[in-house]
Amino acid sequence: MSHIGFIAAAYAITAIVLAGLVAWVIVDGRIQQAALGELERRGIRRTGRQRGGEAT
Amino acid sequence: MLEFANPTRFMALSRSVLPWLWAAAAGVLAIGLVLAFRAPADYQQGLTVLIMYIHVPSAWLAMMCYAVIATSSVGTLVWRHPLADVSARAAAPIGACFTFLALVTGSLWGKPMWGTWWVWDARLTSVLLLFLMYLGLIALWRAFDDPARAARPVAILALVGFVNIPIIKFSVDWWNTLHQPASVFRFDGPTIDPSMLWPLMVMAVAFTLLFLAIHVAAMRNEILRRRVRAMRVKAASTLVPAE
Repeated sequence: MSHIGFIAAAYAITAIVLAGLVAWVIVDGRIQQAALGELERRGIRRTGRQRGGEAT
Repeated sequence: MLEFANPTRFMALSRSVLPWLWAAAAGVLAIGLVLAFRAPADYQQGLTVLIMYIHVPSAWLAMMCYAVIATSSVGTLVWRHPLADVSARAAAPIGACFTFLALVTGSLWGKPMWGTWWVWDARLTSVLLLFLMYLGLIALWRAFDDPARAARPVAILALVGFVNIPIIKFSVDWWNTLHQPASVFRFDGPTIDPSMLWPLMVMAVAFTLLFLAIHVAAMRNEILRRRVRAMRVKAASTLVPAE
């Protein structure tokens, strides 16, 4: 009994969704880092930011 | 514990842990796929049993992700911890994706095995309800401009929705369903042959590691998003002329 089409479709959809999730967090992270960097370049500082803390 | 779990410390800690999490997830996933494709074909299902190695971990993660949201919601309501809401919000889209995968791969497994893509039995319907719950939580978060104002109503809704998790788990025992009963986590031990059980468990660990990596990365993004929002509000307030 072989249902290669069903197996291939299941693995392909899983790969696309999981790769999409990974790509989403990476791209979203870069967008947020860029937005934060732009605000800091304009001289805006976070309230309560600790000295020596992470730049983000 | 609460002092340790502040956003600044989380950002510093997660920055060093995240690359290892990504590497572990990729490595275990590769091993799991090799083991799954080397596992024997089922005597009844043939090679179609290969769908089990992605369907079952997806379904487990769909429920585990909601458990993370519910636990985080308790943190939001009881301790009002800022990281708790961040954790819940970051987990919701990931949980929605794993639930979607459980539904789609289950349907692709059901058609050749049951002869139908879908039946409105208790297991399938309760998982579909879980998917709709995820979409509802995401929609409610997005309905508020200020994430701090959204935290409590979303946490309450998430905890109400948690009642669906034991229903999903025990639906195959409580009702007569087309979906098979539990075959791994049973009081009398797994009913799957070890030659298939081990690849399944390795794939489950791989999916869990992948979830952890994506969740930590999404939490970092959410913290950054809130910082950007706070800084934009601060910048806008300095532009308002004094009365």
